[in-house]
Parts: sequence; structure tokens; C-alpha cells
Amino acid sequence: MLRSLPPAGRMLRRRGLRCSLAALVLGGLPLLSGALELPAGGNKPEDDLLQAVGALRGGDSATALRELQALVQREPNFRLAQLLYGQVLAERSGVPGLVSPLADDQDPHVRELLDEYRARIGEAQNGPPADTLPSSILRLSADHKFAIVADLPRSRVYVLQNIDGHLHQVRDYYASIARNGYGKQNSGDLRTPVGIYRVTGFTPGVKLPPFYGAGAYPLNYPNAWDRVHGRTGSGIWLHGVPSTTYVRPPRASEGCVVLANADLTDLKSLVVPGMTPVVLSDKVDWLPADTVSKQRDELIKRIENWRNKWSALNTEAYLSFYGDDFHTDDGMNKSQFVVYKRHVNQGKRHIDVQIRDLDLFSYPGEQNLVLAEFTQEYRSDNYTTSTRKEQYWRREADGVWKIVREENRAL
Amino acid sequence: MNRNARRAAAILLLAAGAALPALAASPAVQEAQTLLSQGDYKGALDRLDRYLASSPQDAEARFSRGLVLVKLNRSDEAIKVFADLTRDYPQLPEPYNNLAVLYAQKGDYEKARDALEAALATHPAYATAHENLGDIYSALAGSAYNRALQLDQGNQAVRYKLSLINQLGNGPGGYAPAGTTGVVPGKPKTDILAPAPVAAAPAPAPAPVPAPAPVAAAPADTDTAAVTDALNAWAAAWASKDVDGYLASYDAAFKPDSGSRAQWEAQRRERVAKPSHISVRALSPQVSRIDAHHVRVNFIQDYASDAVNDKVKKTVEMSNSSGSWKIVRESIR
Repeated sequence: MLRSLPPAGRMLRRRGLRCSLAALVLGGLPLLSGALELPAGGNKPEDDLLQAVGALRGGDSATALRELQALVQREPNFRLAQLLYGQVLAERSGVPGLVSPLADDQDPHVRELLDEYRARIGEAQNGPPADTLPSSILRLSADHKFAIVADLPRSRVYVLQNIDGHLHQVRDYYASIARNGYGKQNSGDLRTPVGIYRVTGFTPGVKLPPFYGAGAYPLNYPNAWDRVHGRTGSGIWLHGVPSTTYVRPPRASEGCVVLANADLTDLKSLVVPGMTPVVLSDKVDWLPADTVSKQRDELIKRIENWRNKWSALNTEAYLSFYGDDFHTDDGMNKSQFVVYKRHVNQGKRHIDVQIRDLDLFSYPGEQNLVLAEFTQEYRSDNYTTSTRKEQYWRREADGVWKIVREENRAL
Repeated sequence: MNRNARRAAAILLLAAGAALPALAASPAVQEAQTLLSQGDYKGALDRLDRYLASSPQDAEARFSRGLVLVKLNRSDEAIKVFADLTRDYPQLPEPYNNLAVLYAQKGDYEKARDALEAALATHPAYATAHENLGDIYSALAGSAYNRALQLDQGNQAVRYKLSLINQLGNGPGGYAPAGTTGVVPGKPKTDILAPAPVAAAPAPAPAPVPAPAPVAAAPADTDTAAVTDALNAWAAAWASKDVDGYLASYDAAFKPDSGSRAQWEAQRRERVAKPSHISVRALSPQVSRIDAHHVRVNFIQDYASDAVNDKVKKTVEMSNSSGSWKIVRESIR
């Protein structure tokens, strides 16, 4: 156990060094178990920080000092590491009367660092168990090599790799989100959206103000579902940090998800602009990797059924897949859509609809809503088109999945 | 201001003698050390340079030369002297220690730390290095805190005061602190303000300084008690931020070292009143008579505030022309 700084001394009596290093490690936080599992051979600054915390918890402040010293040398702008380093130095100096910043728990900088500490320690203690996957990805097609899942309340971004249809978590990063949290509704509400987006591009840091650090991946907020809800705002990006800092506090942005520059750069080899899905979640449930998803199978069958009815020009059966409150992206309501489709299909002698590259996501922040994305090859006697379709399926009160929103985009 | 309170302060101890076991210093070095202790730094340097011209490898002479260079404020040259000594005599901890002190004075705490750790690697019980390392750690802690809170690096203002040990030749057993056994690495002593290391003075050394004690009456002179009472009253007024009482300790004839009396008073009013908590003690006063109405008092001023711990050797001259003892001159030695 690390001792508190010596209780003697004039300044100590006055200001009260209530928050010693021990308090930083323990205060208000769940205890780290003695057997802290650390990523093997990890060389991320966070791993080094956790090693040092583990050493402190084991009472080995000499090792902690050595590790923190190396860490701050490597990442001098890692402010949380500096704070811990300062605490260990103050403790080991034996000099009484050093006033720790932690004594001033009203200082916003101190609070931010403690928030970051809790986020990182929380991840180390309660991060996803091995061999589990976020339940939100029901199916990821082979054309996506990677997908990104952000656990917004827990300040964490995960990267999942798709190998032969099986997902594996391959990265996780500390991430900062918006000042007012998540669940964006309006422009300027300083919240990060909850929803399913895709990376639409990449802008390297050199083409951006220094504020964005290593670069930015814009997301397609607001998406079709956001528009259903009249959500406003724009410019939601994944981006880096200015070179003067290593990361930002857990809640710091105006809506973006902000990563350390090294992590943003690391994404470069994983993210495919225009493709890679990004699930911004208000809650991530981790299930064993081999969990069979009943929902997925239901949806796959239902979508196949929908395709068959359409291809068979069974217009009324096809239209029965659409919910009463269905809207098209160009503003038709259900009855207008019914009239339109009856008219179109009457003019066809035959049509053929094929779908491929199906992704299925359980939609974050919603009950019983699934986003199906697929490439749709439509051929009829007088018209041929390939589009990428986003289809929002909702389970109705009677348990039947219905389409509530559809949007096509050109390939 | 709140943040300034986080500053650490420290007194670094410069080792004044390298302990070269069973090796008596040469007469030239002894002469130089005498000159050094008399404040004749140029004379000491000259003597050492002449000697080193014929005996360039004499570690004791080189070490003394480094100390003289420190006294002459030629710290870059002193750094080179001590750095060369660490290279030629890596088993000696004192050159590392002094190198550390000089690095610290330049604000390079990382190098200072490395040098002290090198000293402790060969002499784990070297008390001075432990004390200094503790101070360096506290300075590094202050710097780390500032970085953690994104404070202006130029604002950290860790104050250092160089103190000299004039006692030469610790001897082989000299690395353990007096009266202490079993100082182990990683357990630096906490009382960095123990007075012994400050006992030295470039001027002829006063009697050995005992444990810190509030000002007590000195013998012989019948005025001594009244002088020390006045000195204690001055320190007490300062410590209690009684600005008027503090200023009343100064004679009408008092002249500040620079600026006008009015400017000085204004500055003192502000500075004395400012810290939220301070303590001031006048330790080990030595009273000597200048003439019928004037005395000189050498003492150690131990000042601590929220922000700063500081010990300086101070001299005041006091006059009783006004009927009570008042300060007419004040200087830091």
C-alpha cells in the first residue's frame, strides 16, 4: 500500500492533503483487484499507465516511479500520467508540505483528469470479457473488414475485425465525447449522436486546423433515422487532438468522438472511407462470440421473404412488409407509397431483385429496431439499377418485423 | 495565485568535500580551502590552478576547484569539473551530488535526478544525495503537476537555494547522516531543513549551529538579550502578517539595498500581507558589537509559506539610537 504523504507539516495542516496518491487510486473508485490483467506486451501509453497503477496497488512505488518516468518522457502531454507521476514523486520525495492538485477537487482540470482516470481504470476492470462481441452487430458482410463500436458513456472505442464472417475485437481506444454527453437531437446541443453511421472520408491533419490533430473521419450524421426524428446538426467526426495534448477529457468535444493522435493514425489501416460502419452506442452489451442471434435469423428470413414477394410481383404481399408509419426518404407516406408501388409494378412484366453484402445492426438507443444495409440489384424488363439500401425494421406490437424507413444511395 | 501554492521549495546541499579514503589533501589544496573559507575565491582558484598544472589528476584539488568555481558563479565551468570527476572517479558520490545541484540550479531536474541516482547507486546511504534527491523529486512533482494541469511551465517557480557544507572530508563513514543509521534507498529522510548543512558560511564560520532553536539569549553582552528580543519580535510580526509591527522593527535610518524607502515599504506591505500562512524563525543568532549603539546579528532565517520553504543566512545591523533596537541594515549573505 502506498502511504499517504506525511501528515506533518505546516502546509499539510492548513490545506489538508486529503487526496494522497492512495486516494487517487482508491478514492471513490472500485478497487483494482490484485490480479489486474494487463494486455500482454502492450506498448500503449495506457498500458504503461495501468502497469504503474498495478505497481502502486502492489505497494511498489519504486517500480511505479520508473514506469511513469519513462511514460511521461515518451508522452509528456499525457496529463493523467503526469498527475500520477507527480503524486508518486511527491510521495517518494519525503518532502513534507507538498500540496497535491488533488487537494483541490473543485478544480475543473483536476476533475477532468479524475474522470479520465475512472474511464481508463473502469475499462481495465470492467471492459469486455475475452471472446465476447457487441450484441449490436448482428451480421457484418464480408466486404467490411472492420467495424467500429463506440461505448459513449464509457469513453471507449472498439475496432472489430471481420475474418471469414467471424468478428474479433482487435483494438480499443480511450475516447472523448461531447461536453453534454450523448443522444444528440439538435445542432449546438453539445451532444454526441447515438446511432449507426459510416465513415464518409478522411481528411489528413495537414489540411485541417491543428485542433484536429492527426486528421478526421467525418460520419454521415444525420442519417435516415436521425432525419425521421428531425435531428439537426452536422460535422460529427472522429478526429485527433492538438499536438499540445495527448488526449482530451472524457467529455470535451462539441459532438465529435476524439481520439489520441496515435490511435487515430492507427485507424488509418483499418478504416475504409465510404464503407466502415461506426456504431455510436449509449450502451454496449457484450455477448459470447458464439451466441446465436435469434433476431438475426428472423431478420434474414424476413428480408428474403420481402425480396421474394417483390421479385414475384406480388405487390400486395410486398407492401404488407411496410409499417403503417413508413416513410420514404423522398417524403412519401405509407398510402402514397402503396399507390406509387402499385402503379409501378403494374407496368412491369417481370422484375428480379437480388441482394448481397447484408449487414444487420441492432440499433443503439432504440428498442426493437434493426438496421439492414445491403446492396440491391434490381432488374426489370425496362429498368436496371444497383443501389446500397438502408432499411429500418421495427418489431411491431404483434411481434412482426416491419419496414419503417428505407433509403437508397447510389453505389 | 491558488496554483502558485503548489510550488515546491527546496534547499539543495552542495557537498563540499570529496571523501578520498586514506588520502590526505595536499598542502596546496589545504591552502586553497583556507582561502575559500576566507572568501578569497580568486586566490583559492589561483592556488588550485597552479597546483593542478603540475598535478592535473588530483581529485581533491579538482573537486575544490569546482567548489571555487561555484562560488565565483562560473557554474558551467563547475559543471564540467564535476562531470569530468564523475567520469574519472565514478565511485565518488560527491561529484555526482554537486553536479546534480548545479543542474538543478539550471532547472534541469531530470539530469539532476540522474546524477543523484548515480551517486546513490554506489553509496546507497549517502544522506546528502538522499536529501537532494528528495528535493529534486519535489521539484519534479511540481513540474509534473503543472503539466498535468496545463499550467504555464514558466510559472512553476520552484525556488532553489544553494547551501554549502564547509566541512571537508567526510571520511569513509561520512555518507551516513549524523545520528542516523540505516538510511536506505527510497526512504529519504523527511526533515530536509535540518540545520547542520547550513552551518557553513563563506565568511569565517560561526560557532557550529546547534539544533534549530528559537532565538535565545546569547552570553556576555548585556544588550544581547534585548537585541534578540527585538529580532524575535520582528520575526513574529512578519509571521503574523502584522505589517505595521513588522515595519516598526526598522529604524528611521534603515535604507533598503535598492530603491527608495517608500518603494521598499510598499513592497514589503504587499509581500508580508500576501501569503495566507507563513512562519518565520530567526535561528542561531550571533550578535557582535559594531560600536556603542550598533550591533550586527548573523542568523538563519527560516521562512515557510504555502508556496515556499526557504532558509537563508541573513545579517542585520541594529541600532538602539532610538531607544530600542531597530534594524538599520538587512542583507542576505
